Amino acid sequence: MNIVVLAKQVPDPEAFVEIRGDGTGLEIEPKFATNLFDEFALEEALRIREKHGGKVKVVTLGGGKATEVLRTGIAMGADEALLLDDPAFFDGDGYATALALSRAIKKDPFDIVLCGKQATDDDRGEIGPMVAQFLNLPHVGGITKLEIADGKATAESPVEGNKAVVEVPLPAVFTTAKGLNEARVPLITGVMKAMKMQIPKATPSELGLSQEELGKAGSKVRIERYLPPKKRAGVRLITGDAAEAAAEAVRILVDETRVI
Amino acid sequence: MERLLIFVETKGDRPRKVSMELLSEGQKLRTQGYAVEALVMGKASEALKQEVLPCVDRLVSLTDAVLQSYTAEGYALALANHVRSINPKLILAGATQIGRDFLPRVAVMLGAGIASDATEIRWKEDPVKIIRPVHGGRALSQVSFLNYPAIITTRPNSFPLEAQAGTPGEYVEKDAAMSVEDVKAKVVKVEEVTKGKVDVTEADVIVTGGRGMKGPENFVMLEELAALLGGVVGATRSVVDAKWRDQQDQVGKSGKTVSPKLYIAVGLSGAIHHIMGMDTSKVIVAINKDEKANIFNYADYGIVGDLFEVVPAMTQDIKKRLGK
Amino acid sequence: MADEKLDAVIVGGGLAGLAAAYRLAEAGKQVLLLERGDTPGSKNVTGGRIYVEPLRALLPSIVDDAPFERHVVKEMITVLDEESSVHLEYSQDAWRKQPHMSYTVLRARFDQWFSEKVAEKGGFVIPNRRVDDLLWEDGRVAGVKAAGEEIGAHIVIAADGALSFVAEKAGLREPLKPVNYALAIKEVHKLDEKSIEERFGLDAGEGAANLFVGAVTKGMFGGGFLYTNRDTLSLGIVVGIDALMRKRPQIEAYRLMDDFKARPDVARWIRGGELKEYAAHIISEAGISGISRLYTAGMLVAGDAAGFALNMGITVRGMEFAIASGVIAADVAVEALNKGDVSKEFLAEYERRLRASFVLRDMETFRHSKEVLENPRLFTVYPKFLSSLFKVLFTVSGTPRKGLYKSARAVAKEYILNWEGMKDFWSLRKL
Ligand SMILES: Cc1cc2nc3c(=O)[nH]c(=O)nc-3n(C[C@H](O)[C@H](O)[C@H](O)COP(=O)(O)OP(=O)(O)OC[C@H]3O[C@@H](n4cnc5c(N)ncnc54)[C@H](O)[C@@H]3O)c2cc1C
Ligand SMILES: Cc1cc2nc3c(=O)[nH]c(=O)nc-3n(C[C@H](O)[C@H](O)[C@H](O)COP(=O)(O)OP(=O)(O)OC[C@H]3O[C@@H](n4cnc5c(N)ncnc54)[C@H](O)[C@@H]3O)c2cc1C
Ligand SMILES: Nc1ncnc2c1ncn2[C@@H]1O[C@H](COP(=O)(O)O)[C@@H](O)[C@H]1O
Repeated sequence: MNIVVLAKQVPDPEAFVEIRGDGTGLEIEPKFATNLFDEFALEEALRIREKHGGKVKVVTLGGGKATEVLRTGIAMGADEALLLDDPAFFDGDGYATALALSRAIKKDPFDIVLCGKQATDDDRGEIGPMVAQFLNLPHVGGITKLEIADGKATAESPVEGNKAVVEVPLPAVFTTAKGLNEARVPLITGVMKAMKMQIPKATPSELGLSQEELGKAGSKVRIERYLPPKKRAGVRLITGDAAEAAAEAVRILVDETRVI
Repeated sequence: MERLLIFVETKGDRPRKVSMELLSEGQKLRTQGYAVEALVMGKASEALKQEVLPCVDRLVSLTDAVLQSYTAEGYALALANHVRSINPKLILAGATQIGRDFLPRVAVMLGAGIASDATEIRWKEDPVKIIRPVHGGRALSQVSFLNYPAIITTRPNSFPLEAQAGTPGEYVEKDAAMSVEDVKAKVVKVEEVTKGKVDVTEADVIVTGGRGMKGPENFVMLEELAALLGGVVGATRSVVDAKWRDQQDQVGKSGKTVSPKLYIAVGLSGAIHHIMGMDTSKVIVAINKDEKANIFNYADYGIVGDLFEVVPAMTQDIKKRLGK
Repeated sequence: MADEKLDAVIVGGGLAGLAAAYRLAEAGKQVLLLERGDTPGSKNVTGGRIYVEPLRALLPSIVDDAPFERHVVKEMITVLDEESSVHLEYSQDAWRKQPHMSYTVLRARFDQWFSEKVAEKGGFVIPNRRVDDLLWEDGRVAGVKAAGEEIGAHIVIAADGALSFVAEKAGLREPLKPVNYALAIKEVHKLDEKSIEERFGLDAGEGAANLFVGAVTKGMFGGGFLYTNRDTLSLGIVVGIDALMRKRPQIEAYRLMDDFKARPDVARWIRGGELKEYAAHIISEAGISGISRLYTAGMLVAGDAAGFALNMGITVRGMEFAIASGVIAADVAVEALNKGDVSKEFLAEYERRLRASFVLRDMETFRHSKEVLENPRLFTVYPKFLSSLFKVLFTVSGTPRKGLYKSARAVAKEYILNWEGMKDFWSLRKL
């Protein structure tokens, strides 16, 4: 059972995000973490390997400290890692990023691809389904349970308040949602092994990708600028004891804002 | 004449609320030189036809056994084939769990751009500008497409519902002519988990309780208030972790993102992880005994007081005002 | 991993731990440092101001490129009584030239940089790991346990700070007693570089230290400090825990800090600044009598964990002792590893070298400092004497003035020219 996990480095949820003066970019505090949903993907991959044997490979596209995501993966128990850190890969939209990642996945034989439902920086939620389409494979989105048995997988995923149980033949792609599992804390011995490990890389040409298919050039969507979220005017504190305040609040909601 | 295609998602036999928002958007565009079409998977019910046809020039329903239940491959292939046949400029769909699951596949099939979870579309600009939240809503990004066709999925409750009667369009049933091999996934079963309960992402009014509720039994007062307002009860992670409420109701970073008309935050501190999931709500009312609670930095209206007094008082007042 | 042992495991990513890890990694040993905080430095609190001269020889490359805040060129002491204060300022041209004698330091920045240096030398620094227990093999410490995971090592260096329980677990120290510890409360206020330099009369990159004594601690042993960092000010107070507990009427520690910040002599420095961080930590103040036993088979104790700190009330010295003891512990560990002998007898060399170094020599010279400095009169009578003296000298009122000498003598007679004053003066010789 060869399992590939796509894991992305995103800013720490508490990192400070500010819009650069001219709106052309974001100033983000340099505190990073592995995308929350991708940790669930890695945990599920390790559990599948523990049950069915095989190998787990973590793939990350990113520069700078992105290797930390791969080292965390190895520390948690992944067998292999692959880094796509050629700058030509960067700043791609969902399409260009998914194309590059699908080529990286196709480098070696695989049975299962696990990735997060969404990366909490761009909040796109596109890469999983796109990679599945590029690889012409079925996928199940936002899974909260996964069972693997003789060449087939049965996945549960909440769909609009209901629970869908879907069966797919392998190979297939799955994107993870909260509730699937709780990621393990890497063992110290794992962290040490990961620190020493040489991380293999793949270049665009090794993946058969030309410059026009990569990053901004390969993107279909252009980010023009960033805008501050709609600022809320300061809170209007309603005074008075419980009964008075409640009555005033209801008056405002019915008469002023007319939301009830 | 630019063409627009709206994918209508159904709940039971009626269109989902987010689909109606898009149809209302589409209706406005019919008067500005767009030909607006809609597509629904499976045979359209009479109720659906009545709500959709006034807003569009044409409603196509794809009837095919494979499309009876939702699979990403099935819906994607059917939609992509239909798009190739009518060649619209833009495809619109709700950024629901289904919408966000299969539209990206359509984008790859068509080599098209996709802007997911949009909260605003500026139609008049050329190219069309789409605004979508990033970093949990701490910033908005403005994007546009390099070529057409392109796809936009929109966050529920982001577009107004202005129903005007337009000249009703034609209804066409088409066989998607899909073979079983096209879809490798097989839906074993779909269980009704929440009996007809509206999902927090779709509710107009959300009354969320935090650890201040002290125990699961106290949520009854929030259920009563929410029911009165036609809303649902949300939860913070603390109360979900404490098993007082269900994970499905959790609002926030590792829960759901909501933007209802009215969000009443009861006995919750307003940690950034929670705020990320609800700060696009139109009106936020916070009830907290601690005036320094962070939620007050994000609320429009705040009551500093004991929720066990304020909430029952509010419920009584609303009953009186709404004559219930 | 339990069978093949690491050369050394270090508990604690503070100055002592990082210095030891750096030295061991530099000597090619396989060393693992475990730090319970999110990052090295996240849990560490210091004033703080470090004297680099004693460290230059031990860790030249570290001292030269360390990201310190500012080199200190101006020493200020403010003696406060209830309503008045006397402010002394001393600076020396030599301090303005390289090599600078002392620097102000922010541990979050410095410890993080230092841990990257350790990693560059091949040492492993792993945060978010709390050591809960030791591993033993036929009476010898043979590794540590962290969250159930066992990590074997030929030698363990306990550098887990003032609250260290690893030294206690190894039987090298009794449980902590309040009388041996002071509570330090600290705040960091953001103020841009230019304003700091203007307000403290400094050139670019220069720093100042302002120590406060007297009414700051309402008669209790301790004092206040303020250091200029690059674009922040570190402000804090230190007060004996035992004194705090015995004080009547009881006073909350944070109340001391609020009153301290409200004093004009302090408010003037931090006006317009933005509070960025507040922290609290304990400081060992027993001096040489509070030092733990420093070694046992398979283990050495360094830094605050060993009690290497000198709390002189108005200034606290611990960082140089932490780094120096970390380096000396590492050197002895390397020799023990090369010889394959981590017995108690061999590791006794660690204490011998510490006795020969400034670490224990300074602690020996200031053996009585606490005993002398604990005298409450130092915080009440003498500040009052100083302020009364200056009050008399500087007040010109309607009535005809007495001679300066006469008025000064009168004040001195009232406050210090008595048996108590003589005793205090005599006790100073022990400093
Ligand atoms: C990675 C990550 C992801 C997370 N994701 C989420 C998420 O998706 N959603 C989420 O909610 N949290 C999330 N959290 C947790 C979040 O950080 C907060 O811990 C959590 O939201 C706090 O829940 P709370 O406000 O109910 O509890 P508290 O913070 O304890 O707040 C209780 C509030 O009730 C008030 N109160 C108490 N009694 C009364 C009374 N009688 N009357 C009035 N007021 C009263 C108190 O003043 C207090 O402000 C996440 C955390 C992390 C680290
Ligand atoms: C307010 C204040 C002001 C001071 N000012 C000065 C000054 O101006 N000049 C000066 O020289 N000194 C000063 N000191 C003293 C100086 O800060 C300390 O002496 C010095 O930090 C000691 O270093 P250390 O490495 O021994 O301990 P620490 O710096 O405390 O490091 C110990 C580390 O061990 C970690 N740890 C603890 N237990 C465990 C465990 N079980 N497992 C894993 N990790 C663990 C802790 O998280 C911490 O990171 C001051 C101290 C304080 C509190
Ligand atoms: N740069 C990347 N490197 C590796 N995996 C990625 C990358 N971007 C996205 N992914 C994967 O795709 C999932 C969804 O990402 P997105 O579609 O960008 O929200 C993430 O949770 C990851 O598993």
